Amino acid sequence: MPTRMSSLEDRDLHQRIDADLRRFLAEHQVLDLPAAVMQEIDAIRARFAASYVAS
Amino acid sequence: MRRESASARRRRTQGTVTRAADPGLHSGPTAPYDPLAPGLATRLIDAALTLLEETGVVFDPDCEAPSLFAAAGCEVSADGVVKPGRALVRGALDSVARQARLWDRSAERCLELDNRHTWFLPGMTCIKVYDLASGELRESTADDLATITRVADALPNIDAVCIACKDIPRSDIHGEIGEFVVMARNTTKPLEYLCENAESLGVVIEMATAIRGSREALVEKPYFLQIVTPLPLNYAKTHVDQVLMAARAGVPVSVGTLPIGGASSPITIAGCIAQSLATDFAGMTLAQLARRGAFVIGSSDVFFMEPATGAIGNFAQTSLGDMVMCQVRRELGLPSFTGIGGQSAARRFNQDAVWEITANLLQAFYSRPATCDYLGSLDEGMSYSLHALLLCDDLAGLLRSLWQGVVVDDDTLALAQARSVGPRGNYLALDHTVGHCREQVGRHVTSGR
Repeated sequence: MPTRMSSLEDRDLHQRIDADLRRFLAEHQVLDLPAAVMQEIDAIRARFAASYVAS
Repeated sequence: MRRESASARRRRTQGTVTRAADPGLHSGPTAPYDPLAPGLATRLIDAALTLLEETGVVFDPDCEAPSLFAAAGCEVSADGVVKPGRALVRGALDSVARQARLWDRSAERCLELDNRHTWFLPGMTCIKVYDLASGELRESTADDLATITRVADALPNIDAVCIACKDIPRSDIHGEIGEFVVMARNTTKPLEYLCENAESLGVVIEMATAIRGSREALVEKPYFLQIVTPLPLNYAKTHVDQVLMAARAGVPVSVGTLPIGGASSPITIAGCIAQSLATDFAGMTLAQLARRGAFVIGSSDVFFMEPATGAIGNFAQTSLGDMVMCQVRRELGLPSFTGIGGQSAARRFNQDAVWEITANLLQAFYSRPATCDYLGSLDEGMSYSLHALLLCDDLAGLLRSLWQGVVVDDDTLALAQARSVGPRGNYLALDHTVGHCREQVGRHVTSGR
């Protein structure tokens, strides 16, 4: 009966984590906020920037 | 086709909460660990009340706090030292909300913030990252925060996202407001936010309102937890303003200090904890004076000076301090936003970091904090490592497997199978083995898979 470790590719912890990380970086996408919400957020930030500079 | 075991079927039909339905649940199958003997947690709480009564806490005189405390009958000096009596503080500890829900971006799924769940987050406010292309350490940017947030979004055991690293090229009020936007655009998970300026929190509440659609919707389904970090027994104006603003807006708050035993607080664990609890209680009392029933929870993490270097260190003291803090908050019926696990003093993601992160994160199996939000932080909070975050995600999955505990019933005891197999047989080909062999087995990178 093969043991678990001997049947697997010989990679250390950092190599295994790095492979997983590269996969997430390459593949994972997140839907952006809706355009209307982004417009509202941009407007909020712009208003604040103007008032903060003014004060 | 995978067969459902009898015990799994029974749990399902009885409506028992399962890991998939409530992944953060730790309470039930296994018990937390209380390091203090009975009565000692109460003594620590009493010491904190005495500190507030005798020594007092500073609130910047140029803010609303002194007048709120004076109106509540407290002694307030001209320079802002407030001495709240124990009846007032006890009343605040009674009226504070003990649980809240934190909702994701689409307001569909939530995290229960209480003392029965533990949630895992990347954090917190590092100023450097290891460049993914070169591997070199450099100052962090908004793009780095976006990348970390996106990876955190992908990780199965990361439940929410905190500001993992700062936008150093824009180290001003506009930069810290931008950090909220970066997180909101790169994950659908709930958020933790913290800022230097109270004005930033005001803008963030407006932006969260825009995401929810209305102020009422944000109150009903909060999108972020605000973290406020005063000095020990000393609240600056920005901290008071943030506590009051969030409490009045219905934003959940975690308010606590980060004392360094031996420097900003007593060197002893008990002394450091008593002072931290006093700081927590002061912030919680302030919030209750502003809005009774607000979810504003004291959350100091205790750290200690390493006497040989003067840096933060002392693993044993810090671990014990964290466990005691969690026990004290259990005693008060409060969640403990104090998980210190998932970070390391190591300068890079190496053997030192793996040892320390594994040791301090797995401690959560016993201590049961409500949040662990330093995941991936290295070099005493200065540098962020995505590799460390992935290790933490893996360990969080392991913790969740452990928290499922051990089911002891006729099916899992397997006496019928033993009778059938007899003393010389094996269990490899049994349906029982097939049905149970994937239970509590994660796909852990740490297991060498």
